[in-house]
Amino acid sequence: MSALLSVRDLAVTFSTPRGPAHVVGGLDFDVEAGRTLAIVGESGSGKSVSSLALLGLLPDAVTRVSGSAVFDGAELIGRSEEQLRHVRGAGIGMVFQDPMTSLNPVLTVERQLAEALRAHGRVSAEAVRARSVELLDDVGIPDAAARLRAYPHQLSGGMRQRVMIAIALAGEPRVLIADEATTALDVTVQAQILELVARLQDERGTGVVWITHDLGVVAGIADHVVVMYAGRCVEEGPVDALYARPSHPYTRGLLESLPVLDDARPAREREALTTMPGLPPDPVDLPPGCAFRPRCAYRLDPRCATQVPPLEPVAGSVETHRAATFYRLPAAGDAQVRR
Amino acid sequence: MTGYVLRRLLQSAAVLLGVSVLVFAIMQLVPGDPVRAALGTRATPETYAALRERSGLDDPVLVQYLDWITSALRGDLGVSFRSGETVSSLIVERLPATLSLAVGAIVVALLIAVPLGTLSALRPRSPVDWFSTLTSQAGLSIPDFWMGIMFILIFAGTLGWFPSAGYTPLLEDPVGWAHHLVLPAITAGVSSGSILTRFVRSSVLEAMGQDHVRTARAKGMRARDVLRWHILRNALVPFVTVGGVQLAYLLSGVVIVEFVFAWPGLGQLAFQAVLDRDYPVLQGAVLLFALVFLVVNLVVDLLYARLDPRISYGSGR
Repeated sequence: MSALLSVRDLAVTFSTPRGPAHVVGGLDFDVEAGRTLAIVGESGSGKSVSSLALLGLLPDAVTRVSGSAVFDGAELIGRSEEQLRHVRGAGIGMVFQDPMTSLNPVLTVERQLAEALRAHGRVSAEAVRARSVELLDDVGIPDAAARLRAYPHQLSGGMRQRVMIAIALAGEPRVLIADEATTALDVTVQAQILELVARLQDERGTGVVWITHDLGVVAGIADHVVVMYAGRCVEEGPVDALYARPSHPYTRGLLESLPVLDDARPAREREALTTMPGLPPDPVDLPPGCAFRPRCAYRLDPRCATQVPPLEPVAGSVETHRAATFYRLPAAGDAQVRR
Repeated sequence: MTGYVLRRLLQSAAVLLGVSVLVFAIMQLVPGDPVRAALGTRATPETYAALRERSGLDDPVLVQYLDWITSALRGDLGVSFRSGETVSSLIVERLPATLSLAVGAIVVALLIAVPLGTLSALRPRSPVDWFSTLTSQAGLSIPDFWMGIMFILIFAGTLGWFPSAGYTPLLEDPVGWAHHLVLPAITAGVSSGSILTRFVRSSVLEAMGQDHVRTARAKGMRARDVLRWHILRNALVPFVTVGGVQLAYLLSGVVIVEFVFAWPGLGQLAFQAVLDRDYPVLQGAVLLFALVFLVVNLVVDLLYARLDPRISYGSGR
């Protein structure tokens, strides 16, 4: 299947007072129609920045983007603001993390929806209104006509996030990028939103990029997973293969730090939750070699300190499952990590 | 909402009462005898005593204050020691000139501040930004009287484009009114405009950094619509406060500018009253200035709720 959006060797550098910050480097991924790609990583791993870079939404003055991103047969990187404007909303829609701040507090929901509907051509006032009600219905907002007149602060967090999704869907994008779209929400609302996106994806064949740090969410919705660390992809693969055989020490660390909710053992017999010591490196001052090395428990190979490990197929897994580590997992079985 | 307005009006009345006590007390403490000052040294003791008696200056201080404040409430601010006219008629006479100058100056200030501040926020550290920083620094540093005199020298003297001084009422001669207004309005507007430029810059910068601006861009909106509806619209909220203060300041008489341009406004009236120890006029003027600030602040607060729906003045506040 050919990809809707194909990203190759994406790199983003910010100029900072302390020198260039290499926020994203050598990133590849494909988004296919009707499928979900999850980009996983902790704060500052470059996952949000890469999606913003695709749409030219980073501050021009201090950002350098290189590489390639082909959407619908056209290259996005290096295109003019006006050309990118036509892709934004209509080609690639974005849902942002914080529904408290991502909606304009002084404009009504109706107005903010209408802007998205009007951004790509003339639409009559009646059509805008009808479509706005329809969109709010679609995202499961009850009493849509009345909610249109509301200001964001009059809605709950879950409702606001639904409004955000409605706005992102207004342009009928073929790719929807959801950047930590459920992080600020409680679990029940989160589940509703996940369901909603899955339904819309089925109905419209939208390709979804789900950016999150929550591996629990990823397991439930993703087809393919990209794990990012310090701006690079450290492991990627089909979701089942990746969870069955996490091969990069970082991925394993992430999975081991997930709590198990249905643990039947009494509390004192359970193992304490594993944490990963240390912090992600400073993008202005990346360590030589593998960026994860300072936190890695398996840094035995001498190349760890000198070379950036390339993404290579994981032995004993599917072909599309690749990891960027010199560490080789022992044969299957003992490496099994609970899911 | 009505409850809030009523509450604010009551608060304003209390503040005004406080101001009146303060103003009255200060007048009592200022050295010098107003009657002596008004009559000159050669008045007979009889005339002197008569004016003191008539002005109520022989009564106890508290009685004097109560007399003054109760008549002030009826709109009677007393009679000028100097001219014998009522203070309220003096104020009403000067009001149109002050209003003209204040409105003219705030228009000039906005014409400077909004484009310059916005441009420099959109292009930080660009030549436009440097220019804007430089001009607003200069506008703030150059004293009003010097700028006024320079304007008179250049535009009234050498070029002869505008009259050097004076005021023509709007209703008598609209063209003459505008003609006379240009130089004083620019002189008074430049310093307000300089303050406001810095403020527009910082509020626009702040508004630009908000997450919802990114949302608006991600919708595919045109850059100018994003600027208009998501940046400037939101920057307006903090701007209104500072703009209101500037307007109140201009409304309470720009003494120096009025002086330089022989502009018959309230600032001159108050200033002359100080020189003349014309207590009733000075008290009246100060009370009026306090009232202007209170009213402008109230209007600003009410505007807030119009501009930002998150602010509500209901009982839940």
